[in-house]
Amino acid sequence: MKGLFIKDLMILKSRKQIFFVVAFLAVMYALLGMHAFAMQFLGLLGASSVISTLSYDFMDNGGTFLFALPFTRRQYVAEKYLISIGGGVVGLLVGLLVVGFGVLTGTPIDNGELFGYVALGVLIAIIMVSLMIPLEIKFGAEQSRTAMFAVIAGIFIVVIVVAKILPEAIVARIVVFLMHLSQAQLVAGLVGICVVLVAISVFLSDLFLKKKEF
Amino acid sequence: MLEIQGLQKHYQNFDLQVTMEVPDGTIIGLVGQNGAGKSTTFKAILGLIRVDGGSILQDGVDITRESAKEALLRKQNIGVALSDSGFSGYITPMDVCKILGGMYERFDKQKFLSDCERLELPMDKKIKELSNGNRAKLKVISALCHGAKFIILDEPTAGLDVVARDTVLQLLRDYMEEQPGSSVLISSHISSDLEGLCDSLYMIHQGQIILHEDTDVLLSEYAVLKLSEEDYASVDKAHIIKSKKESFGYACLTNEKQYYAENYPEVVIEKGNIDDLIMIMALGGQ
Repeated sequence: MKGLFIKDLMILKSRKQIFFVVAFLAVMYALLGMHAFAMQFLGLLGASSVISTLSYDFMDNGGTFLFALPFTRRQYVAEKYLISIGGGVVGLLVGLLVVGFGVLTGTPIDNGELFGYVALGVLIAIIMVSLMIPLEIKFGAEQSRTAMFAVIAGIFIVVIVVAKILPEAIVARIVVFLMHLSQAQLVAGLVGICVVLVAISVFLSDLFLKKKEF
Repeated sequence: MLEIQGLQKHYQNFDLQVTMEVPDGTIIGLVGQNGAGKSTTFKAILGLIRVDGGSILQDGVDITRESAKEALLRKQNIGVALSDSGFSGYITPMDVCKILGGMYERFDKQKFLSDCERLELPMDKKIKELSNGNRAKLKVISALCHGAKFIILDEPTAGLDVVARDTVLQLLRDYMEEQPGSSVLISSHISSDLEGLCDSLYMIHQGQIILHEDTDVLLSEYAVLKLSEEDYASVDKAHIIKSKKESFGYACLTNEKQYYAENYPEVVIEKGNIDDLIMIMALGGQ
């Protein structure tokens, strides 16, 4: 698996412009005081930049050679999740620097607000990773974008339909329940959601890759 | 030793059924037209496709039934160069060196770097910016830098000029001298490459092996008889493997050149080569 990590790092190194974009955006967000957006967008950008290495792996029929090298398909899947989540974490850390810059330059932020930024940033990055990796493995770079839109549209439709079907009283009780959760309970819930999402996603990626022929 | 026994793979418009072997210490060529099944055979050996039947035994272990862990260990001993697939074009040969170092337990960095230097590969240029010749050299160097016991080369010289082809083939010859127990399975469209390199050749056509012969025998015993309609009608066909209708009459492939030279001195006999073999075996009739 070490070779896979090195491969992805080398591909990322070849795309130095991403780092300049991240640095530029971080500075811009800091100057404009867009701290919340910085946390969420940079986390997303970090994760999605790393996920794009999947496209590079399969570009120009490259998967045939790559999968002849000594690693298992399961190791490939594991490496993609680890390095993508790592990319998301790096993006979030840059986002935190932006927030820190804001604090130093007179834009105070309370702990609750900061927690909200980080929580949403993590959740967005995890959703992105959980959706994109299995879709890219199953459909390839081009078709996976269409599939991604279809999945997101499907999720929205399900949420809207469920919200319409559920009696208002129940929806209100859910909202009240969520609002009364402590920060610790929210963290636990968030971690739980992320673990479940990633677990389902890993299972699907493993399944798709196991069936894939080159 | 690689033994492929009754390997089957079915696609909608193509069926592969292959039996062949690659003994230790030999270079075996696989020839055939585009779409004959060469690449599918290689993919099956590399575990890149699921097979529908038969077995692929490498050193006695059936790789169609091996676990992921067994495949991992086996691949440490395989070197691969494929004509239509390789590392991402966005990385450099120096990056490839680092990646292979992380992939292979017995990666010989010194050999990789010295081979690259000897063949004048620009180490810091992106692969997509390299010439076809340099890309091919990098693929073969990559396949030969970790002491693999079994090398698979699918069209390693495709699209190269004569100098680059010779360089790539010399790499392979050097490797066989350095690692005498190793074996190579190679495909190429360029018959002269295989004639000067391989111990024996398999010919594949429409997914089936239709000929297996030692290269020496092929070059010394096989020939193409050029016969008029009248000669074709009267000649003894016992040693004619395949015939192909031509404007002058028939081109007939024989594996008993001497027999026809002695018994039919008037017949034109052309020394056989792999191109003729492919043409007549693939396109000929009875």
